[in-house]
Amino acid sequence: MKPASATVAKHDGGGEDEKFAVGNIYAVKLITGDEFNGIVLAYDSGPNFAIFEEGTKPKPLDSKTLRMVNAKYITEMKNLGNVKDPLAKKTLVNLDGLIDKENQAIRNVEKIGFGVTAEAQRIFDAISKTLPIRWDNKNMLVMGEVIVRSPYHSDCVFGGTRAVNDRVKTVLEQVRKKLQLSDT
Amino acid sequence: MSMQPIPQSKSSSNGFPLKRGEREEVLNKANTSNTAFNGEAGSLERPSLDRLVYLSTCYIGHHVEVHLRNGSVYTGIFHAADVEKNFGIILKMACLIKDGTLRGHKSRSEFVRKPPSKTFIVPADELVQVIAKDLSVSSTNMSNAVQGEKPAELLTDSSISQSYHVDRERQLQPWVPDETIPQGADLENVFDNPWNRKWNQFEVNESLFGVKSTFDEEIYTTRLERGPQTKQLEEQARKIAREIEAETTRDLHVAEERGLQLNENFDFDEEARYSSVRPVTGFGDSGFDEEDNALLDTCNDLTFGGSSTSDGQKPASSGKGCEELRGDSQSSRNNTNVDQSCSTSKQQSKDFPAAGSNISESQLDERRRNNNQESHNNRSAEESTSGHGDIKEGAKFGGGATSVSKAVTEREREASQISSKTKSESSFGQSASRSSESRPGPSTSTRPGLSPSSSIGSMTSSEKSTLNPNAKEFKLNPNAKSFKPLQPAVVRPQSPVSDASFYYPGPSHVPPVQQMPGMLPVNYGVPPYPGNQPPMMYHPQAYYHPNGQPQYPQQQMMPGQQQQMIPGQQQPRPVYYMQHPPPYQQDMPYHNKGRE
Repeated sequence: MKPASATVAKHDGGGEDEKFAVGNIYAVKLITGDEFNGIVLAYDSGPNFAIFEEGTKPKPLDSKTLRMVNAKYITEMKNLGNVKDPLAKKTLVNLDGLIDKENQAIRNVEKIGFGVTAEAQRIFDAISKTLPIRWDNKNMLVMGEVIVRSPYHSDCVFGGTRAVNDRVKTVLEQVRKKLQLSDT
Repeated sequence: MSMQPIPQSKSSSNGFPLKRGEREEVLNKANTSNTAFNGEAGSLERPSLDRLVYLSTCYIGHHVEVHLRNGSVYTGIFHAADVEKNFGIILKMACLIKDGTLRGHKSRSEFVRKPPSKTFIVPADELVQVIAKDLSVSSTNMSNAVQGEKPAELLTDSSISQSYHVDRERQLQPWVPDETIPQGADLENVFDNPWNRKWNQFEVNESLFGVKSTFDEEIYTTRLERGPQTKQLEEQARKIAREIEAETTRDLHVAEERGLQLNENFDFDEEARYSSVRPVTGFGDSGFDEEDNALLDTCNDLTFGGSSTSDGQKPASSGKGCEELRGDSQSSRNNTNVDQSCSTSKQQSKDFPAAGSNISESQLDERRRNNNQESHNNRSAEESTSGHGDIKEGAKFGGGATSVSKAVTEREREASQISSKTKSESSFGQSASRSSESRPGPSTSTRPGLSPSSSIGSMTSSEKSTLNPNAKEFKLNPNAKSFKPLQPAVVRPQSPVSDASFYYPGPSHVPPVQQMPGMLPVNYGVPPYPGNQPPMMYHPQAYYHPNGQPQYPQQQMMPGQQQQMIPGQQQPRPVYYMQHPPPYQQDMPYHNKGRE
């Protein structure tokens, strides 16, 4: 793929394009004070954003650290050399896979309680192996019906039908025992 | 120009884009999934933009760190970017980790003040950089990354149940054989004929422990008398064996034994092939179909001297433990004949009565004839072959006699297969054969042939007779060692019978039998038995009750002999003869617990 600089014709900031030719290695400084070395992987003057691969040597395709940088806020760029375009090999984007990945990540984040103790989080994780459970502020909501309040002992289980409630209580006790947490 | 966290503007857990427009722009640029990197013709003019788009798309779903102009740092899941225009981005579940507006720095872990914003938009002007660590930009790897999550979710039981700090795996070491243990794999030739084996346990025992062996094979077997007819009889046996071996079979287990591959093999899972659990095809009494009834009748006849209804004769030599399976009662007559021949041989004792050979011919014919019939095929075949029911070694297919016996057992299997039986029966048959082999020698012609194994009518309604065709004819040997019956395979696991309920050897001991329901009566040849209703049912679970005392043909049984005679049963019921192991255990070289 031709370096962007070769097709300068229509853009403003053609000079920028040259600067951000793919494969150039720079030591970059930002207005936030952050500094890094990176290889230019992409740049377009329209949005004026560049994507760098961190480091001075290209890493394997499945494990790069990328930085999407607003060129406006680059204070300094020092040229460190050149490499061949690391993305020369054409690859595909699996959008569906990415969407799945995103959903998965979101689900994982949701599993983390906010403002709860580590112990509570461990209890939550253990229960989530067998029962559907989610956080509701600082309470655990199990099977959509049963609420386990802080401090998450068996006597803090409320709601749901008798059977479900008992079940959650039992599971909670088991979990506590297994985690060797103090019991009520 | 401010950052605007937009909480709950849309439930983002399913990943729908907050702003359709934004997402679609990215989509357009990415040209849908699996777009080649260099895009379509339309965007060739801006290859640089395409690259940008491509790389930005790779960011989706990744945890990123976003630096803003004011120094704040957020972390979240990258959702979308408006690449073409001003490159604003959207994050999901964003958390502030470093607030640029505060003086001083707070460490990340302490700082979570607010719960993560479901959706977080950063306009381009505020955005300084977006860092994605360890990102994959190649498509195969990308999907793998997502896949990579999945195996992690497939937690094994052990990993789930263990507490957190346990190591999941051990370092496996390859096994190195112990050098002190002699190689030479005596296990490999364990099934060789005795004269082939290099291992003589008796010698070893003597040398190791100083135990002098008093083992005499002939106590347990019938001496093979090789008379003038030997050659001829062997000939016949071999011929029959060949025929049997050459047959094809539809029975799954038989085929497996023979190493044949049935076509439908691949439909059977392990359970069908090897389980000893019978498929449910009517255990109960009601489950009988006609042929089973008849079958059992004839089986019983054979075994116990057919006072059975099917056939009025006393089984002269019935049931030397010959296992016959037949479908029709007419063959039963043949069976009794067969019995006679059957009764003779054990371990290649080819001392058939002369009639025997004739009968075998007829049996063969019958067999062939019957082969053309349907389900009765195999059974009839059995009867013919059962005449030669020598069982040298049930498991082995060597030599004529042996193969015959094997064939017989296989036939049983085939038969059972027809009623969709399981392997239990076959191994049952085998164990029966083995057991009969180990039985003490003598047999009387008039015996109702109750080798314990033969009595293994562990027949359910759906089963065929599992009389042991290979059981030798019972000739009473007063000097025989105490006999330990083998436990035949039974349909259900049995509870062991306590010793207390056992008989002691003693003269003319009739009564005890009666009051022990579920006891195997050990009969000492007590003639006046007829009136008794000995509980045949050893097994509490057996589902039939002894009724109708069969003629107790054990007249010849001599006292002092610990034989277990199980009175024959006429009724076409599943007959359970539990061989009773405990007291006799030590004597039985082939003790076979049967299949559980």
